[in-house]
Amino acid sequence: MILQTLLTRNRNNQTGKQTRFRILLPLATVLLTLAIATGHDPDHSQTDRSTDNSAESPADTTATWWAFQPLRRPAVPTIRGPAANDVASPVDAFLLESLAQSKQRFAPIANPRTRLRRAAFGLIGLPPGSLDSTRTPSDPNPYWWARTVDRLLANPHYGEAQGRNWLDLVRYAETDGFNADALRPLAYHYRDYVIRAFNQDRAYSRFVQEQIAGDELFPESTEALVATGFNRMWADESNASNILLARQDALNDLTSNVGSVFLGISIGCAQCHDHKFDPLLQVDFYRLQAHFAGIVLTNSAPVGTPDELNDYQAQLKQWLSQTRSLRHELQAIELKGRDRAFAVKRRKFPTEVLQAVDTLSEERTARQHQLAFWSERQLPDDEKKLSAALSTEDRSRRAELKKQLESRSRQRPQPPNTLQAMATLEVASGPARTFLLAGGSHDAPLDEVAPATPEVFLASAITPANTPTRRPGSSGRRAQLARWLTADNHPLTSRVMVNRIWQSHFGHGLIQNANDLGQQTPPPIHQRLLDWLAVEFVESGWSIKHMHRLIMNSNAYQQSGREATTSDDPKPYSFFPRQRLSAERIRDAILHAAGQLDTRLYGTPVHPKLPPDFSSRHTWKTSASPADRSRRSVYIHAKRNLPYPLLQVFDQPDMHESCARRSQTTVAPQALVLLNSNLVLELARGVVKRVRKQADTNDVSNQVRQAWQIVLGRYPRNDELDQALTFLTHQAANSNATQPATRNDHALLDLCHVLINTNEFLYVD
Amino acid sequence: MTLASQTRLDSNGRHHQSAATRRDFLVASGAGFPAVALAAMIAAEGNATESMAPRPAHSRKPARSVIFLFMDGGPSHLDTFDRKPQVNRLAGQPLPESIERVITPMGVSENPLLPTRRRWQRYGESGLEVSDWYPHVGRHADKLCVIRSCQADGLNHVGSVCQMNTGSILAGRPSLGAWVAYGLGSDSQNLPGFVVLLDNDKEPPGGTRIWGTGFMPASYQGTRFRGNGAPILHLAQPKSVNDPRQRGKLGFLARLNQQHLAKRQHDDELEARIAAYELAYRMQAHAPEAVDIAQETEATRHLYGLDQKTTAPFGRNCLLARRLVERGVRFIQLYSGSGSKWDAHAKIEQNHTARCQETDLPIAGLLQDLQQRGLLDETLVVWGGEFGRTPMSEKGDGRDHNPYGFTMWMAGGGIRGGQTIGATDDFGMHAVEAPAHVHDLHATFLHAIGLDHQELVFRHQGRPERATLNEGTVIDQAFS
Repeated sequence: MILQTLLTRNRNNQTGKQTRFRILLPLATVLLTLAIATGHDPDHSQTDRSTDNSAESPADTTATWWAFQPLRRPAVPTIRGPAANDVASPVDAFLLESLAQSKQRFAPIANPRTRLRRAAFGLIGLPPGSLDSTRTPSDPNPYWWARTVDRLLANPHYGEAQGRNWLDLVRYAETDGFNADALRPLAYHYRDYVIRAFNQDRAYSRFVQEQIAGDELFPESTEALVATGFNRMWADESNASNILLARQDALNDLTSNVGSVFLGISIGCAQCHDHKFDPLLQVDFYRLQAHFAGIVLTNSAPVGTPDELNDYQAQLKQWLSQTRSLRHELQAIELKGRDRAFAVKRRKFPTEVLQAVDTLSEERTARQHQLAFWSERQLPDDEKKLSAALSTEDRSRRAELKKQLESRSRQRPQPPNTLQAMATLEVASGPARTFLLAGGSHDAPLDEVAPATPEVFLASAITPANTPTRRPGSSGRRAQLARWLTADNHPLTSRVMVNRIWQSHFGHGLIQNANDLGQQTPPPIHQRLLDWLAVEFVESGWSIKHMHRLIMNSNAYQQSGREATTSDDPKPYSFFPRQRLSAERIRDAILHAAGQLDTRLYGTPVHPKLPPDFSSRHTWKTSASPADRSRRSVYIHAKRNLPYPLLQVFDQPDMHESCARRSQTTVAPQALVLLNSNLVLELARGVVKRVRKQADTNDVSNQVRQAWQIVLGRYPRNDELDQALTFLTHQAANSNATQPATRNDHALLDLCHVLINTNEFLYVD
Repeated sequence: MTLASQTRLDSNGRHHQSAATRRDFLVASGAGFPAVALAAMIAAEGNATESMAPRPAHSRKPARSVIFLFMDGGPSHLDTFDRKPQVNRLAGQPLPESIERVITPMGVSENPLLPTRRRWQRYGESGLEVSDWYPHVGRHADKLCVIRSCQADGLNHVGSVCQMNTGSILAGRPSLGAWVAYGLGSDSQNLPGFVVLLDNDKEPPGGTRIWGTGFMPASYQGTRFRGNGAPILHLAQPKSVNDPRQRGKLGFLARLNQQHLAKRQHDDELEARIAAYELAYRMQAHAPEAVDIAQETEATRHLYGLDQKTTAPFGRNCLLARRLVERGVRFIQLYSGSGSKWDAHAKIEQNHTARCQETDLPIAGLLQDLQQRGLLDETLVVWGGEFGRTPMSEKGDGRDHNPYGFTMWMAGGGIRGGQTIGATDDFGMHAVEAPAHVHDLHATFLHAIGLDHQELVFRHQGRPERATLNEGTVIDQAFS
């Protein structure tokens, strides 16, 4: 057997040393060895496709994979027999057809209260009690449900709940992470942008375009510029020692995330080698990355129409050339000083990085801008030391030059508008070069690559719209990618998104793994339904609200839970799956029950109380205003190194990686925090206050009824009422208090606190 | 199938997805497979309820627990376990030309060599050389397997601490303790499977996420035991609620939940949440007992240095670690100098003298106590930091970070003591003999506790993830 050697290296090798060369054996050798080692016949293994590094282009082997097939609208099945009555929407027809194979149907429609609670938590993330009119008709008219869904879709809290799902995907954070975890003071504008986009039912295609290339496609839109914050959501080390690596890590992270978020494929796997399972080549990863090679990270971006920006740029160019000699002479003098004053700090960086920093910002290439982004903040900017390091002559010349430049700067042209936001732009000199990296190592470039989309899509014949790149001087690479992603016939973009919308209701997608439609995830059982929804999505103008309406008006959505089925082995979609509230919903619902939920929309992050002594290293100053501390959880400061403990314990994801589906754990610390934290106990006191107010009398039974209604949204049954009254008597007796009134207070507090802890409160049927 | 053959396969340096795919296939086809893989598959993508029930390990007679003594900030190998006379001989001069230059955070590659002021002594039958900063640990030389050729990829603390915990310098992956909790569950019904102890109130770089679970469900994360009061956050009820009331509440809650469940048959998750409240209640009762060192004899307290101000904080944690091992906790991580306090860029004499004094006696006490109680064989003890330090001086009396070659040691847990593995060059700059990358170290730690790093798979976004990022080779010599 001939040894074919391929070099791979450990990625993220910050030391930049070629320490871990690996020799890859050809497939057959490996399989044979494995077979000997395990005593199994390689013919029966599934490894063939997945381990082959050197086979023919993977595009050939997997042209048949379902997710890459063109989208076509499948015919809606005709359901005959009694089940035909269950068809309220095409969605139902697809599901019933498949259920019929096991002779099953939907469970009966759930009662209005159950459906309302399901829909309210699902769409707006709040209990029905938060709605203006909470009355649930016992025998609703036929239009009640459709109207209820429409009302919820129009509720401004819809964007907060739905936007949070998107923030999980883009690993939204308001700090850098790493050691310093520095604040990103402008990041929250992106969060507000997302909430607003959902509330306005922004076409998903436009939503995608704005985030990847808002600066290039919609230069006059401040919203679109804020959206480009997407390109900057990676964690960032403030004192990175290896600048070239930090730059490459950021680009890698962005590239992987584009794959996960928009394409639903784990292209990050192809960073160091061809993808092991999916038809993605390593070169595909870097070609995709090349679309982003031009990004310049700015917190202040010019806004205007293409014409206005053209004029501005022309004028600026003129001014720059008029002041060129002045600026360069000044820079030359200051460089001398920096070299002397900051020699030790500067020694840390290689020549290329220093050159980038030492180039005037207006004249930097894209790569120089990028290198300066990571290094400039690490270099001192001490005016006194700089000045002291200059000769007398230089010092006075410098002062003179600065004065001259200052007088000229009044004529410096200004952009039509400037936006303060975490955005990306490009420079006219064009994007940085992109290379295929051996083993993914930043310092092992192989061939230069041009921007292109993965080869496997060639077969899909995607036809992007012909919209122009509208920001003058921008390469248009990202615009090109965005147009490609949002082509009506892109096989993945719409499938990925409708699957997520579906998952937001049923707890699981039609595809098991919402961030991976590749071959590691089994094909969906209901592929035709998924495709039907995907086509419907595109044809509706990529309307997310339309998809919610479609799904929620189905009987599949409205049916009862598993207990209402008659089968011993009920199939998926023959009942509605019960789900635990998400972390944010739990906190928001408790705040609501306590009558403390602050319902203002948008704005700067808030800092609710942390448990005492939670962490010495990572902490924050609690918001002064009680209203701020009681805002919805989506507004809590998203600090990478300090996830809010109450949310974290209920599975709020770590914001270093894209999360398409949260884990749902059931662990003792969740019980501990709901039962023992002062935070929750305080909120239970809030519930007591509301109970007293609404019960209006000291009648204990009435208090119990109100407590049930406030926390659980229903009145207690008689047996529950009796049990609660007994409990109140016992708790009053258990109390240490001397005053009978205080004992009763304790008992009522305990009752409200228990109700917050119940499964009925924490789960949605 | 033997572990050895798997390990040899690994030395081909391949990624191991093939094996996983193969195993998945075997499971799917009912061909039988270690339960852990099945558990791994069931738990993949973190749905449903986690099971912390103990699961069979991959290999026979493995250790049951790991105690990881983490010297936060990077201890100098040159002044503790890796003697380099050449550094002293050429003190004041730069590294010879023959030694490859490296990037260091403070740019010290051309700085003069800083001599060590240590006296060295050979200990035990093995004659292992240990400096006078670790005389008590030296007495246990024949228990130690010293790896002098460790290598890591990070240069700065946060990335390097992250890598020594999670395998990657970038955040977002599960920590080793989480992998162990995921792979083996907990032997304790009343305590978490993974516990973290800090010797002061500063957290290590990266904070809680370095004992977090990254993309795994939160159930496998490390639980920090706190120094004062209740060891676990929210373990005790608020002061305003007395015991009878707390019991009354739990009783009423259980009743309401049971009634709720009765109307909704077949729901494991609702039952699991009822059980979680029961576990919470048991933890409330048991965790304080687990950390109640007042139960220990005067002699034991003395052994760990609890009677001395310098050694008491770390000694207490070492003693707690032993108590937790006795109670079935799988992975216990002890930070010494938590908050990068080993980071001796200047005045290393002062810095390391203090750190070593704080840890020497307690570590020796721990090793002795574990042995006395017959726990050493089933407990892997690991000592080390995120990297070592440079032979070149920084600021005239300190040393910069050195991830290119540094020392860690293991003891107990089936490790053969009294040996050294690998070597650095004459100046302790680069690992030159049998380099042991973090992934190799992690593979070895996992092996000691009976987990095969190739088999321990968690599916994330369709990708089979492994603790060692599909790399790493078990250091066989450590066990033989």
